[in-house]
Amino acid sequence: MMEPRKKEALLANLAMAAFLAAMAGLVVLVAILIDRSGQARDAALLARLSSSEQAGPARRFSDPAFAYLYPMSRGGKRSYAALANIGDRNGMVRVAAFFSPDGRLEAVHIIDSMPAGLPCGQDGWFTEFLGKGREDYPLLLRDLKKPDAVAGASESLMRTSEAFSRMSSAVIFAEAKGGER
Amino acid sequence: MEKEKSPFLPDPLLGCLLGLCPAIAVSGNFATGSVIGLGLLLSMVSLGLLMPLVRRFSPERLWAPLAFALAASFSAFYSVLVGAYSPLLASLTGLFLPLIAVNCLVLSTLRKTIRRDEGLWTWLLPSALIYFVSLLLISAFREILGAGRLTLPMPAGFENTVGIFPEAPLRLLAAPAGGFILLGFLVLIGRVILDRKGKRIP
Repeated sequence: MMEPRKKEALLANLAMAAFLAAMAGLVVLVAILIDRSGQARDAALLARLSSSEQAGPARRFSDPAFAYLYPMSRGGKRSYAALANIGDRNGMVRVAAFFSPDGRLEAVHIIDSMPAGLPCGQDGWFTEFLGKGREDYPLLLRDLKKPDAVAGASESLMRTSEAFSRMSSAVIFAEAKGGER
Repeated sequence: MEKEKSPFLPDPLLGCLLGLCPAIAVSGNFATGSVIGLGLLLSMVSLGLLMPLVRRFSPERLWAPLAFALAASFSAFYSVLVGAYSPLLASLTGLFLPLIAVNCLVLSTLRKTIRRDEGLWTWLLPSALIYFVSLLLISAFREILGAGRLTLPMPAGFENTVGIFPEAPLRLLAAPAGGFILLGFLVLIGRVILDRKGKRIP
């Protein structure tokens, strides 16, 4: 038989543990609800920008630049899209990036920039800055390290190109996983 | 006998030098400075309001873990809200948003609320408000002089930047080193004023 004092302490501990669990559950619930509504809003924005529709569930990635990769389809032609935050403490831009199923970057749209007026906040800046124009975007990091690919190399360029490179790798991964189904 | 100096309003930033990490790291931009400042203000006030309830309904040995859990929940909740309000703002503030839970100002608040050293209205609220206003002023000053502009914490789709100067008059202030130099001068000025008025220097 348990002593009354110990029983009381145990009950107090259990009550507090239940309270903490309820609080953690509340935070997780709010996070899930906000995440879902944000995901639906982002998918609608990407569909509007690319005049296509979402072709399947978004795939989650734990990447510092982007959270979800959305499979899209336009007239039977498949593609992938992602919303990414690119920048550093001096400024950040939110871009919508569209990829072909083999991981090639097809288009970049600027959604927002903070502060406004950043050079990278202008449409067309990314393709020019990456130095590749309409050419195929290099898929491998080692290709990016070639002097001609990294013209005017800088921390910003590496940060930007690495973010796009990771998105490209995610597209290839998602395509391979999709093909397995 | 020297007259005892009267106490001054609790000033955590310039007086006690508490909560320096976000004050220096994110105050180069007014938008991020205000987001972090508001997070600390809400966190401190919420703790001040809830801790008396925790003390009333739980045994003393559980006060500290409950206080930490409350602080962590507030910062997680606030991070989620900021991310929903503006993903760019959440990215710009980076790690400092979830780290509000272990900010030394919040930890000092926890200690005081657990020990019942100071009350909500006498210490916590004035201290949180002073920190918030100081952070707003420092970040506005740094961004205007260091970058020639003022970035407002607006959601996506709204104009978020006001141009003040065509060229930044004092670029050093935008860098972390400039933040420290500015803070040093503000602390100096604050202490000289306190001393002249015969107030206690914290």
